[in-house]
Order: sequence, then C-alpha cells, then structure tokens
Amino acid sequence: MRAAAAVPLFLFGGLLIASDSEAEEGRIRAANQLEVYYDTNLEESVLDDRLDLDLSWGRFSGGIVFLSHSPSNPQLLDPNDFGVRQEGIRKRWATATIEPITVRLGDSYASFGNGLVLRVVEDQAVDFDNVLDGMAIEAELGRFEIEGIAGTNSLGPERTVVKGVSALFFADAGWHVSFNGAIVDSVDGTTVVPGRDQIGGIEGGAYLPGGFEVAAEYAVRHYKPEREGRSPAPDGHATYLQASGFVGPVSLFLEAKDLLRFDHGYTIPPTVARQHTSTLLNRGSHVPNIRLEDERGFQAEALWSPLQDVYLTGNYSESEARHSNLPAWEAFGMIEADFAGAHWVLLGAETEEKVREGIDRTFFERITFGGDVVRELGRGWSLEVLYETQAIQQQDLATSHFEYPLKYRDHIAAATLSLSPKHTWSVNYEWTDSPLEEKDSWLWVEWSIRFGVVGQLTLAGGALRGGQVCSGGVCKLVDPFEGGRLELLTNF
Amino acid sequence: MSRFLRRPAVPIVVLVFGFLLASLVSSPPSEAQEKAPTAPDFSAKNLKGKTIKLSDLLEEGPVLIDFWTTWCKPCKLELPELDRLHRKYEEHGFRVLAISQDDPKTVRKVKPYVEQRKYGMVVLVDPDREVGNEYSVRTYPTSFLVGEDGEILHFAQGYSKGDEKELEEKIRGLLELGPQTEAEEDER
Repeated sequence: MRAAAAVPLFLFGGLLIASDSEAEEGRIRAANQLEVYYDTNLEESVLDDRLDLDLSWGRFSGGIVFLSHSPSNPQLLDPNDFGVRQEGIRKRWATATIEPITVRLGDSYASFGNGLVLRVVEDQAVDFDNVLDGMAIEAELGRFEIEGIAGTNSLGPERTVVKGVSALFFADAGWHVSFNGAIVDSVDGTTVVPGRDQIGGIEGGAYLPGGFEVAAEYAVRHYKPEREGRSPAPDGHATYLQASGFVGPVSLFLEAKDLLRFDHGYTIPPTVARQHTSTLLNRGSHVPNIRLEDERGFQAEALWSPLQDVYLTGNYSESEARHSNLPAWEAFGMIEADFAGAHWVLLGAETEEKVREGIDRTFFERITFGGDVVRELGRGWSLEVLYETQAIQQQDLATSHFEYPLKYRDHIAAATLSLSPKHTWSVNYEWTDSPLEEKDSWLWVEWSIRFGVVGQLTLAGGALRGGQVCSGGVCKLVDPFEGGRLELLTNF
Repeated sequence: MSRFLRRPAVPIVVLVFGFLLASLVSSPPSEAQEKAPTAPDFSAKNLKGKTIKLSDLLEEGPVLIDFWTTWCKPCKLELPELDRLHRKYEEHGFRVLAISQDDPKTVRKVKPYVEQRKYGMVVLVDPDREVGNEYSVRTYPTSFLVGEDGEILHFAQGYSKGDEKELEEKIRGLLELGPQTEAEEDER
C-alpha cells in the first residue's frame, strides 16, 4: 500500500463524519493522524497515516489501528525492511464484558505491579509498542483482581510467546499485595528459545498514617537451561522500593532499585532517574544506559513551596553496577514562580556518567542551566521564551593517557507566540560548538492551528538536530531532519 | 524535477487536504453544526486507589478530561487553571478529570506533586496509558470537554496561556450560566 492508500482512508473518515455515528447504544469513534514529510536533502517525501477506529455496543467493543506508510522512494525510506508490520491493519481487538469479567481477544496489553515481571504497553510519544496478539482476561471479584494475558509479539521481527498472570488483593486498611508471574520466550541470536525466562514476583503497597505511601516489589527471573549437560545459569532478581510523603511542609519522594541478570524481553522497571522537562537534560539522560543485567541505585526528590506560587524542587539520583565501574549520578534543582505577571522557571543540573562504549568506557560530565518565562500579553496573546545551555565534557577512558577530553557546549533558544485558542507560532534555534556534529546550528519554525473538536493542523519546516528523545523512561533516537512537515489530527 | 513532484499521488493527497483545510478556515462550522464525536467510557484509579468511572461523573454534569504528565512543561502551566475551573464550577456538577499519563517510572511522583499544590480536581493515574490510547493521545497536554450526553465538545492539544478563557466560556454555556460578569473575570 503506497501513497494512494491514504485517499480511501480519508474518504472513510469523511463518511464517518457524514453518517450518523451513533445508533441506539452503538458508538463509533475515530481519530486520524496524517503526517507528510518532505526531506530537502534526500529530495524525498513520506506520507504516513494512522487511523484509530473504536466501536462499542453495550457490553462489546472493538477496534482497529490502520496504518499507511507511503514513502516516495521505498528503498530509501521504507522501515518495512526490518520486517515490522507497518502497514494495513496493524492492530485489531474485540472485548466483551460480563461483570465482573472482561475478555479481550486480539492485540492486548497488561502490566503487573511496577513493570518488573511484565509490562506490555504502547507509548505513542516514542513509537514504543510491545503489544501481544492473543487474549487477555481481567476479573474483579470483591477485593481480588485477577489478570491474565497470553499471546505472541505481533510487531517484533522474531515471534515469541508470552504468558502471564497476576492476582491482586486490596485490603480495607489501605494496603494491597499482588503475586505476579510470567513465562517469556527469549531470543538467542535469531533462535527463539521457548519459555526460557520464567519470572515470578510479589508486589505490595500501603497508605500509612500521616499521608505516607510505601511500595515494594521483588521479582526473580529463572533462566531455563535448554541443553543437557550445561550448568544452569544463576537466577536473576529485581527489587524496587518507594516511599513518599510530607515532612513538615516538604514533600519527599524516595525510590531505590536493584537489578541483577534481569534483562528479559517484557520487563520495563522503574528507571529511578528523573525525567525532565528540559530538552538538553533529557537528551543526556542516563535512562538509555540503564543495565538490566547489573544496576542498583536510588533517587531522592524534595518539593517545597516556601511562598504562594513559588515551588522549589531538588533531586539527586545515583546508580552503579556491581561488577563493573559504571557509575552515574545527577543533581538537579529548579525554581518555579509566578512573578511580575509571568510564570518563571529556572533550573540547573550536573550529571556525571561512565558509559561502556566499544572496548572501554567513556566518561561524560554535563552541566546544564536553563530558564523559561511565559507571559500573557492581553487579547488572547501570550509569549514564551526559553533558553537552555549545556557544557559537555567527554573522554574516552581507553585513550585518556594521551588524549585530552573533548569539551563543547550546546544551546537551545526558543520563542513561542500564541493567539489563544487557535494559533501557535514557534521558533526553535539550536547551536553547538561540538566538533562531532556536521552542522553547528539548526532552525525550526512551526505553526499550529486548532479546529475546535475537528482537530489540529501543524505546519513546520527547517532543520532539526535529532538525538535522543525520552518519554516515560523509554527512549528513541530521532534522526536529524531538514525539510518540511505537515501534521493533521482529526477526530470523528 | 524533484521526486516529490514526480509522484502525483502525494501532492494530490496534499492538495485534497489543503482544500479541506481551506474550507475549514474560511467557514469554520459552529460547535452545534459539527457532528460531535463520542467520548469512550473508561474507569481508572484515583490517588487513593479508588476506581472512578467517567459515566458516573457525567451523570452529575459535564467533565473536562485532561491528559498530563509530571514531566510536561505546558501541563504544569495548565493544571492550576483547570483546578480553578474545577473549584469554581464544581457546585454546578462540572468536574475536571486530570489523568496522569506518567508510567510506572514516574507515576509515584504524581501524588506528591498534586498534594504539594493542593489541587482539588479529580486526579487519576493511567500508568499503562490504556485510557490515553483509547483517546489516541499522542502529546501532552491533550484535553477533551465532554457533555453530559457523552459527546466531545472541545478538543485541544497543547496549552497556551489564555486557552482557559475559551474553555470557561464553553463550560458556562454547558452549565447554562451565561456570560461572565466583569467582577467574575477580575477574580481570575
């Protein structure tokens, strides 16, 4: 399916708008996302479309996700080379609810506890989706909740089977405990080894007097040896602890992790590292370097409001590996305040990290400062101005005796002018003195228009630096891009 | 000639949409004329672990559903305004459902964040983004104003200072409260 595939998609969307989308108890809802890119370097364009269509009828519901990917030159721009299903009906499911049981067939999701044992989830912000094609069952029986899922990964290159079950008990006193288990096929090179990862765990949490809340989870990963005569691999384990509450006027948040030999295909444990609003801080995050095979660490955050509309945030996180010298830490501080008719944010952070790269490690130090101010200008107009700067020092530890560290600085300046409620114009300028980059500056402009309930259009163009983008602890690398982009979101 | 122009299907589709958009810009349909989409019903847990169902709240009045995260900058700007609207119109049956899209990595920060700011609106957590995906949420904040009959009457992605004014007008319209007086506007 190529470019022309988008036409019937939108005709279908138009029919939905024109037709009566609600008949008796039945309901139809659809959302469409159209993106058109034109890359000025490649002189190629891509048209992507995603249609989410949901239907519900009393106790039954169902839905599909329809994708169309239409590059002008498939050999250059077609991600289907990786074997991932990117076109046609990518997902489809049907659910039936007969209280207290809900059964879902088709593409299904589930998450047990804090995600140590099993986490099957979609995050559209970073195109992450480890959906299972199979069946999921949920039942709420008084104070018990039972959840089960079984299926194959329908989007990955290798077919693996995943089965999991969770039993949760809620007590009146404000505590809960759950027992979780999963059996996951693992991929050894290109060979799928059935049921090799067997994971089980216990998770609990409680609300304590004084507004405190605590949570804990412990899980074991048993690795099933496949060949006779081979000594069994030692079990892996994962621990997660968390506590939060007020100490006087200060809100405290503490968490800790301990992961050892716990790298299996369906675990996404808490990162225990701060996720920031700052682009430069998130780009240099420790999150993509977390080692599920060997990592332990903690995070502490304090939030205090000394005056009305003034908030101070302080955060420190640290992690290390048991069996190698790969430490990482970050200290972060932020002030948010409403002052002189504007909202101000000032932040600063220092990060140090050793990352395994090639035969040895690379040391990174990043010192970041940033500021952001938003002010209403009257008659629906508002202006936001942002500046971030990050000094980076990196050193290849294998060659440190004869090579000086590399030092450079990145900057981002952005201005956004909005005319509420319809229009937003933004300019983002990024520059660096890094010798590792082919370009030293990137300028990106964007115009966004809202059309009430119908949707939103964004027109943008220029150059984007790309790099690491993180959302919810899942990170992806975005390629640099030069050209134009059109995005249209529509709700039917 | 570039490849872009050599492939007729792409520019044709773009033109079709350009036409569609131009028609939208030149004669924007009124809210009443638009065929309002329907909000999917859902249930999610609040910060005390209690399950809250959208359809239960809609029985009392209109609901503004806002999808946000603790690490989203415009969300942090928007939430105090939404909380103000919630407190102001709560007695008329209106509710703000602020649904955190923080996943298990950051969801534990939601409670301290909300409690420190003493928000009164209904805050729910959706760490698996089940509700968010049902509403096809791709960026934060994304908000939907839902009437008592379940129809989506307002949709906004992102937040700019001043957006809350249009929202408040719509909420007042739904609650049949009429336009704001100058004194009420000054209270902001």
